[in-house]
Amino acid sequence: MEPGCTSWILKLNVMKTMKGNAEKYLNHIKCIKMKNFKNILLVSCLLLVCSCKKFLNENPPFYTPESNLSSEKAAQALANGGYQNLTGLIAGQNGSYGGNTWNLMEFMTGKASSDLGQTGYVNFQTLNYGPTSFYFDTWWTQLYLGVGAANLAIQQIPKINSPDLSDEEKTNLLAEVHTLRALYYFYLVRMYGAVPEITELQTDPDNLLVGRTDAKKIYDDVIIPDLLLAEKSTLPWKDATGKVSMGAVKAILADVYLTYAGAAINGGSAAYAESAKRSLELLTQGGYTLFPEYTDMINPANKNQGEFIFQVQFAASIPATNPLTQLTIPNYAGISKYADEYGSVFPTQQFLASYEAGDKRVNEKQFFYSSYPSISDGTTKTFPHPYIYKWFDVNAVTVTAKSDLNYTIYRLPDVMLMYAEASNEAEGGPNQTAIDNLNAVRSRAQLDPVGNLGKDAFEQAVWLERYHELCFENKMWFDMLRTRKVHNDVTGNWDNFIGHTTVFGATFTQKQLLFPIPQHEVDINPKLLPNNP
Amino acid sequence: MMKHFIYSIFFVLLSLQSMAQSKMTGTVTDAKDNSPLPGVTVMVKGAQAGTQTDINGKYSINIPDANAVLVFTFLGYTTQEVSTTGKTTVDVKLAAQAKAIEEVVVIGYGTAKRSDLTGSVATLKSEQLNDKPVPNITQALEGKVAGVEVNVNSSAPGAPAKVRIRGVGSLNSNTDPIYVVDGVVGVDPNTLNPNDIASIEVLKDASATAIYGVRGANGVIMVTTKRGRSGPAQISYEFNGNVSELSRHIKTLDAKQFVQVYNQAFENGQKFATDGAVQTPAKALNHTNFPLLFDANDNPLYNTNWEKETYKPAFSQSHQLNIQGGTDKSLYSVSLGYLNQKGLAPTSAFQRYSIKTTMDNDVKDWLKVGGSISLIASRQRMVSDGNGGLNVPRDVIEEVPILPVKYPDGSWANNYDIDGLEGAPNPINVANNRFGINNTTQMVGNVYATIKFSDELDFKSDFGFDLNTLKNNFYSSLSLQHLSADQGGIANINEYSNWYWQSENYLTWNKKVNDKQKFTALLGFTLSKQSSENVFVETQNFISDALTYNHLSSGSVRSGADSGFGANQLNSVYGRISYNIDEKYLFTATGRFDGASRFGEGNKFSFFPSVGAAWRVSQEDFLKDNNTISNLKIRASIGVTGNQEIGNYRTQTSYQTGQTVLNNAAAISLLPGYIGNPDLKWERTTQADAGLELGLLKDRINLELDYYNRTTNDLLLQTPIPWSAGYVTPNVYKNVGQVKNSGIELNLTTVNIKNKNFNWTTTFLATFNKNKVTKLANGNADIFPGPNFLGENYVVRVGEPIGAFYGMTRVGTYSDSPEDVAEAASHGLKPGDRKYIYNADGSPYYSVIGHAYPDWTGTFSSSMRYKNWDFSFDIRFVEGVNTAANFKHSSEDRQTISNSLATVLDGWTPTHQDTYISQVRNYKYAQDSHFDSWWVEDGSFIRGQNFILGYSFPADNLKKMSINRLRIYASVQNLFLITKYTGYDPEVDTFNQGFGYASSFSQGLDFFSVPRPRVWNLGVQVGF
Repeated sequence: MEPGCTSWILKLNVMKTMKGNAEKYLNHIKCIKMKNFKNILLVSCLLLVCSCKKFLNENPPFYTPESNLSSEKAAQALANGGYQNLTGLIAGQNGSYGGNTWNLMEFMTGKASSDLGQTGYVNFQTLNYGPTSFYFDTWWTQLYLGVGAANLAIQQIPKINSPDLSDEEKTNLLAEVHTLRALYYFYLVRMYGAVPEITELQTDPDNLLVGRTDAKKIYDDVIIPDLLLAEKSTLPWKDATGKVSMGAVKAILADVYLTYAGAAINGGSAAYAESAKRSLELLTQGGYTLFPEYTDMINPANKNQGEFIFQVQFAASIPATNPLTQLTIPNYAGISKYADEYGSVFPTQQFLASYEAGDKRVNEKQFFYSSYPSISDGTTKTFPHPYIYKWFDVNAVTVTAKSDLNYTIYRLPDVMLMYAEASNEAEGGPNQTAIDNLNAVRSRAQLDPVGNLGKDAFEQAVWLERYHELCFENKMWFDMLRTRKVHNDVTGNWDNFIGHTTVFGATFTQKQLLFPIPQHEVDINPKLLPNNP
Repeated sequence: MMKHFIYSIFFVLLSLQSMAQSKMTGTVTDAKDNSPLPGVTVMVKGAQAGTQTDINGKYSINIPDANAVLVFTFLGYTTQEVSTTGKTTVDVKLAAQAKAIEEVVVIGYGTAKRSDLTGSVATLKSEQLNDKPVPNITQALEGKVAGVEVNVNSSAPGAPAKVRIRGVGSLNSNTDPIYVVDGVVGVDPNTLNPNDIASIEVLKDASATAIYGVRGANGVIMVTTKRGRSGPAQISYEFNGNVSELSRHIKTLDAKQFVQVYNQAFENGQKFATDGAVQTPAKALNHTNFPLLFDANDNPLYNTNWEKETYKPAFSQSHQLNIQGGTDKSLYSVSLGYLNQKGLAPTSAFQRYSIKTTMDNDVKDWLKVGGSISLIASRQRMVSDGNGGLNVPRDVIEEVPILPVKYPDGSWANNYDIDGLEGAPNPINVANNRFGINNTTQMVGNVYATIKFSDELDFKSDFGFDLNTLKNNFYSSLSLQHLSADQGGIANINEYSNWYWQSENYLTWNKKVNDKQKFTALLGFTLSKQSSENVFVETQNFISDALTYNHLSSGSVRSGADSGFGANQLNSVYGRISYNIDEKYLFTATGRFDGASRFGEGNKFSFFPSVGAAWRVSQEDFLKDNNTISNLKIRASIGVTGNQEIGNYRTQTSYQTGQTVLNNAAAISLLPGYIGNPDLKWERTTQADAGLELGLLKDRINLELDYYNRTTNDLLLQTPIPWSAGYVTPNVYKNVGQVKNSGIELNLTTVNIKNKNFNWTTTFLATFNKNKVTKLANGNADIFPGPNFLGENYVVRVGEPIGAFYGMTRVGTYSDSPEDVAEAASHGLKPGDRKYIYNADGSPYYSVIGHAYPDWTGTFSSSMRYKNWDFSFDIRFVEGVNTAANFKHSSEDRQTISNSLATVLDGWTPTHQDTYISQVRNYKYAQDSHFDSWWVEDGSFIRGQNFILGYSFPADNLKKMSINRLRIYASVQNLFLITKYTGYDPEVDTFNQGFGYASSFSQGLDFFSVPRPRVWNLGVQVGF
């Protein structure tokens, strides 16, 4: 008999004693229908005992920490968990119409506008946002979901012993997941600064409130060690399935060190050399090549190929589709199969004007477009201003209303320009490889190569190239924070970040250096106070 | 179909009745005052045939020969036998029994005389429940019992009501009472046909509820269905037909006003634009851009009142047939019911078919067996799915008036026809082309055997079951832009199957110790298991709307497939002893020892005791013959009950599977799902009750007064956890604190006039409840339980009641005075923007801005009978409560993308600065909207709940048709509503419309509700 049963019977006795009449009952009954009663009592007691056995056990219809998850497939599924929240980089914003986490990073730069009030963009255009404003909550949630899933995988994968899972495979799965965790934290610290450092899945519901850890410490404790661990793996340089490759590890490390050296952390100039080392390794050993045409980037056949190093994976057939195609279609233009044509984000005239004359990227239907045939009658619709063409999936727009494009986190020009910047800083001036890389990016844009520039001039040329090449890929805001410089599209100068006035008349202050932690999170966890200004 | 069936049964029954030989008639009156006695059973001795007296005490019966003996029986009166020999009429005067048989009430695992109770138990009889046509029991309870608060929050056909007994004693563990239907515990009351109910007992205090231990904390509602009775078969048929109509209006902009506000808004936009860009609509509203909507002078061609176009009068009907009969050894009943309820919203409807049969047999002198089975099938068509979505009630307010319902060519007109508007399809289009249908089939019943060991001791074994399936079929048309056009149409089927069984076994010992002392003892044990399974399938992208969800594989995209399972078990022992000394001193002790699978190891078992005592002062010698005080009883009880309604497996951590994309294909992932709490334990409520029952002037005045005090400890709350924990489900069930409810319940009934022709009774019920959170975990830290609509909406805070609205405080709009301009600028705002209170550091100030639960509620009801006429009414009072008009967010703070409330005409202008409504501007420059004090309105109301006028035909006229009773009535529900609330109805909750599910939060949140209709009824009741 199980322990539960013993106490059960004890209690039964207590009840009987309480009533004090059990004896009387039995005597009384004997005279009447002894046999019947006995039978029933017998049956009843049997039922009681049967019930005791396992009656109150639970068999939950989901996996629990006790479930048998020791196969190679389970290891893979745990690792996959790390990937799942990469979609958070372009996740829809609850309560908005046409709102997406991606919008925030473009709205902040002052180089983007929106056709929609429901994206909340006016708050960002005027810089009057607060902890309850759109996007801060979704970013926070999505990134920590990613951290949680990565923590689970990092804890569980080493415990799996399966003949189908070699040690090398295990190490590589762990390398993938550590890289992903580093990436999620990399976004968190750049956005919110000091955040809770959680490196093991929390299991005690009474102990979930964690205070904030300084951003530099998170780089030192988590981000950099995770990536260095991944760097030791035997991951391939490229991965056509969309998983973390050695190329991705190096690209992220290059970015991490570059940011670590930058203004937000001031982690020391040695970090520039570390950054340059990784980007150079990727450039020389990675086997990545620039696409000949910009529009090759919006051909779904090229997913995870060519210059793409690491992407958020989508597949129209699943259906898990890239939302940016629809979000960036001109508002009510009537050019697509989509019912909603949002026009959520489009470039300011001033930013477009900052491109050099002859830059191919601003030619029609390269990075931007200003007309397209109407979906109903084929007549050309001309828009009041250019919209972004970088996420334009022709097949989705005209036929399926389901975009198959991946969303790029790292591609080759980003790394080329990171090398140029980091090596220039590390070595006190541009080396030939740095200059070649900058010119390779320019040459595709049909721009003249830069000549022999000094350190500062070269740095600014690289920064501007990043704006022009990587615009609307959620890179520019991080560049502004890292460099504490903003290109003024009106004057052509590089303004200091603090004090820069956008074309909308709003001026960056200390407040813009970090996003506020979402109010709902602070309400639950007061240890996060004080919030960022 | 159904109607034909009922008619044919009628004719069969009529023909049976007409096979008579000769007739005897007469009148039965009260021996004391000669008033007619209706409902007296008249039978021929030795035969099965019999009848009942009508409302005037008259009867007519077939007798086999001239020398028959008639037997007249009536509850509370002495039975008389009269020979018919030599008589043509037999008039009888029945004398009341010296000691009238007292009212018997149903309690847990048995019955008791009302006078013997030590607990607080309210009874409602069938007539009281069915005085108005409602689709379910929960709605029928509204305003009927002191201490029972019923919120009919949705006016969708077939919608359940929210029932709370003695305040909210829990957070978001379930706060619904438990329903015990003919002994089957935990039946969903909303699927049952209320016409099948014979009586409802509401067990309120611990002395009454503790026998249900773990499930008793929120009160117990005992539902007893109609069963057979010995005597001639009684056949009754009832019909109700009614028309619902819109009873209140929300004023929105008409066509001219809309165009004016729209243009003004773009003009004002210049002021708010910071980049100096000129503000113009995507396309100006004129005939060049919109030739279908404007005439050559650019005046709108249409001025559509969407409220009027959408909410049209709806006709509903119900039919009910009951047959009850039996011999002294064997009783049976059969009933059939049909309800077809239509809602104000187009296509919304609820249909229910029900069949029920019961049987009770004395098969041996020591053995009784019986049982009942009830089959119910219903179909509810819902058109307002998805709170916050572009659903019908929202589109009624937001569809712009310059659009017609349909264009001259017959195609639907929709907001998205106008560039720049938030693209809502028009509400009538949505109602016709997007719908969810809840199909319910339910089988509930039991079989039992009672073994009588002696006159004192019996044993009952009762096996009860409730098997039900809820299948939701959903379809949204491929033509509905912004809802389902991108998907090419969406069809899904979501099915829940639930199985519940229980085995109850108990001994009852009725012992007379001596002349003065007796007791009833009960000992039982029970096992029960509830399990459920669900299946979900969805496909999208159809070539036509023709097949809807009837052929899912005709959609090319397989967008969803899932299934689930859950089960929980209970294992309990219980006992009760009721001791009665000389009919003066009464004692009850109960105890239940429960084991529940849902709690963690070590916390599965708990004991729930209670004790109660009562003193019938009026039985004492000094009051026995008092002419003024006819009844005086004082009661007191205390006890503990539990709550385990938290869902299954809440102690267990889950690793949830998810799906990600790798290599262009779906890949399964494992994620941290839910953080289990192994320490989870029972929520326990300790309740004390003191009651007084007073009858004056031969019970012409009856007062029942109760004071209660409930303290709930170890509150089970679904507490939000930090997102930083990384779990997919961002909350955990925890035992977090303590809440207290205390209150007074009053029930005063007076018989104002009682004579042969005129009878007038009035009842006043009132409940005053005070609710307060007294302790919370983590050093009394506030908890924000959601919902989260533009900020937190509720706070759980020590010292505040559950249901405290929490938000910003609006104090008006910024004027153009220099101080206001400066203050506005410090928040990035301008004159004409809404003005809120801020903290010293400039951050928004949040505080408690209202309460979702009322200070007091009451019902005043009165019934009169004059000769053959009867008239009665109920008026309900709900006072000291707030309702949040959240719909003002989208209809007052957002111009140029949809229609607005007419209140925006009162918006800020340079010459009208003293207003709470901001200056209109194009939506691009809308000010951030917050959950604030402007939305939280006074939700107090007085409602003319029900008014009925009836007429019963005199028996003489009916005799020829062999009809005993024929009453027709007309009634109206929701005749008037007196309230300051600006929405349709302050009794509302649009955030919680799950089928039969309701939690403590979100009461009083109104984000576009279906208006509550006024209902005009005509009904017929016939008895044979």
